Amino acid sequence: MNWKNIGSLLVNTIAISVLFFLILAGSSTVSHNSVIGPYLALGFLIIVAYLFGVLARELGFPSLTGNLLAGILFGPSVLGLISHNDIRSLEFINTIALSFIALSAGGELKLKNLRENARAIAGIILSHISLLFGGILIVMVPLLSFSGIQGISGTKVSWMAAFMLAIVAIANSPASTIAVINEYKAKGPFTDVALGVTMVKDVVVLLLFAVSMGIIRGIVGTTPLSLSFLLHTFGDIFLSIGAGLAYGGLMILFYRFVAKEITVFIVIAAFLANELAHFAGLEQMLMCMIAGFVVQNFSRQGPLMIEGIEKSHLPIYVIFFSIAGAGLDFSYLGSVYILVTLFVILRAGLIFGSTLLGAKFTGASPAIRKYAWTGFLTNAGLTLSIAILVEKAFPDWGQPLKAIIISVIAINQIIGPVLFKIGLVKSGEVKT
Amino acid sequence: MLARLFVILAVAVAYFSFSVIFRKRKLSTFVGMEYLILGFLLSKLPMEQASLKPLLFPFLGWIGLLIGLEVDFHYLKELPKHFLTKTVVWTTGLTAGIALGIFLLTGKPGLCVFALALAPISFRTVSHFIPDRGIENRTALFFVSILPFFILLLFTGVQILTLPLISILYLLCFSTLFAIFSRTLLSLNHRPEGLLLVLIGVIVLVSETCAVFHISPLTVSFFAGVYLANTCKKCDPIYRDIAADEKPLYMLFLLLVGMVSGIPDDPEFLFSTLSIVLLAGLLRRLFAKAHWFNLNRYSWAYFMAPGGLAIAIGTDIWMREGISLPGVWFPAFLVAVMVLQAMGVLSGKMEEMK
Repeated sequence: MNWKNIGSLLVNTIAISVLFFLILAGSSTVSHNSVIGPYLALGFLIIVAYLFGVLARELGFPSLTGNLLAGILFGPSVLGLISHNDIRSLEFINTIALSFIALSAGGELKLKNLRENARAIAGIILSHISLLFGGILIVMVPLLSFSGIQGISGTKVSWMAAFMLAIVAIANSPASTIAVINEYKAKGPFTDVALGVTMVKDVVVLLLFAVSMGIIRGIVGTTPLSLSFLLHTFGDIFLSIGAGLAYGGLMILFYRFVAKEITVFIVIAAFLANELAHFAGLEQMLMCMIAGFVVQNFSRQGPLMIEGIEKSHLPIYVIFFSIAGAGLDFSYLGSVYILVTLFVILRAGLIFGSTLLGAKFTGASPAIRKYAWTGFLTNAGLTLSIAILVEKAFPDWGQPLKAIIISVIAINQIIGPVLFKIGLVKSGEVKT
Repeated sequence: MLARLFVILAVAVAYFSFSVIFRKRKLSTFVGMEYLILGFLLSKLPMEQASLKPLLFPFLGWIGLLIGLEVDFHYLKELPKHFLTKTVVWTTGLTAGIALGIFLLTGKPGLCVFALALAPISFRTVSHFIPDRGIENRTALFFVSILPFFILLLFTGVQILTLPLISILYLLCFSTLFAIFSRTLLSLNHRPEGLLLVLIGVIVLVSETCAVFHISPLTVSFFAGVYLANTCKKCDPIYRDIAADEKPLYMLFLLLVGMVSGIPDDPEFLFSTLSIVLLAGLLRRLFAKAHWFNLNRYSWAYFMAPGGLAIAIGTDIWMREGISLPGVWFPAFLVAVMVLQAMGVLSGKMEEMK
């Protein structure tokens, strides 16, 4: 640990924060276009998030933890230098960044490595779906029933809310996983299993959520569960996979026949994929993941894509995680902290147990058995989308549930990457 | 949403195809202006132009910093006095001539400041036509390359003379503050990609702060660049990073400028464009042919193209004083720069063929 470096990083962070505070104070005295505010905040956030990232690395944590903490500290929850309005305006950057991250994640998945670890990946996923899902459901139903949280009362509602929490428990954050892997340039079976499980689980969670929403709607009586609903849901997922295949094919054509300005290309490709997915109502993450996977595994241009990604990933990760951090709302934590703490501990315990069992039964290596669970603690984008959709569909109990989920995300996003980094180092897959 | 999708598709296709097309036709010096044309075309799509405006400020900051980083006082001190006099005379003389012409044509003193934007010479165009690096040619090229520094100095001087006192105070205060702050921040031990990220952050923060306080991002970041170039040990990697992405950044800048400005369907627009082209073209030709500048050894056409800096200065003025300017003026200015650029490139090509 270089204390001189840490000192100068801290001094610079304080100096820029004071300067930004003065700019904000001064800006309220002059009339200006309100559209400028978010971009001003972005400039500040990039600098402090980067400095926090370096600081985190100096202290032995992953950079993304620093980026997240910078967002939390300067965001509306703590110091308030970045407002809710700024975050809302900058969210579009994050949706583009998410496409980039999904492309990157797909590109990191190599068919050869997946085949070698297929048994372990399948075992862990099945174990998570059964043990983790079941465990959370069994414990959370009585907990929610007796929690006294307004809106979540009665056995039926408790079951429905617990069902959603069980899905949330399975979900991970591919963005955090890939960011930690990229930062430490980790390579090996443990890394492949962690990434493979996270990616496949993303699709599984999407399907589980779609089916659960249908069932709950049927129970509540708003829309009965029908075959057409299920077909529509599965159709969307298949369409996204198809679109990802086609998009990957187009990317291969570019890398084959143009193959210049690869850094600019990958950013434009992510931007375009994001717009296309939104326009066609497709699953953006799934589509991009498949596209990246196609380029990596069905052409010789995979390394070219990875080179472009590696050259541009730092700015994208710093911006993505700092905005995500600033968007984390801790104001709910106060009212539900006991339940949230119990849920986080229970989830971590069940992840540890189910991963160990899944890995053991499939004969995975000791490193995977011991440390793979560290890669499955993060929670982010997809989990938040679930919370928002549930709130929209069932405002009565969806609102308090969203508060619980957001608090869970906030805690897991801080703990998850740190533990995953430790797992990667301990498994010996980090280049020194 | 469809419009946005179309814009991104158009940008992607243009970015990867224009350079190939123009290079094949050996018109690489024109590259840049075609993005402006594309921007004009895209401005016809139903999109909210106002939301794009804040995106322009960081580009101005980047251009200012790029030029500032090229200014090294050691070299400036060693320049012969007559050389400096020539650059100062070109800058002030041409600007004053064009400003007078604009005033006589429009009767609006506020528009005269645009004369500054019509004084630069595109280094890329000139270096394309004068590729030989003999001593005489080097002097001519150096003259062209040093002009932006004097033009930006004059631009600052004009702002100090015309802006309200509070804006001058903001300008001086932020120029000093950001220069010192950038140096401290960039002097830390960064990994190469980290340095670029800090640069992006600094440019965005500085430019948007200038936008809030209605001061010129081009000027403030130019002074930050000059300060860095002469005091920061890391100025070489900083310059390398900032210049490496010149092509995509210029493309986006020109595209955005075209999209935000648009082209009005107004006869006054045509008249204004024609007036600017004639006025700036004639005066530039006169100056290029003047024996004293020693540029008359080459075709005057080589010195017609004003280049990207012209558009940057024009945009900087328009972004701050947009409301007080006639609606057709800025698009007319942009098209005039484009026409001058095309004139420079095409006449140069014809001269080459002779």
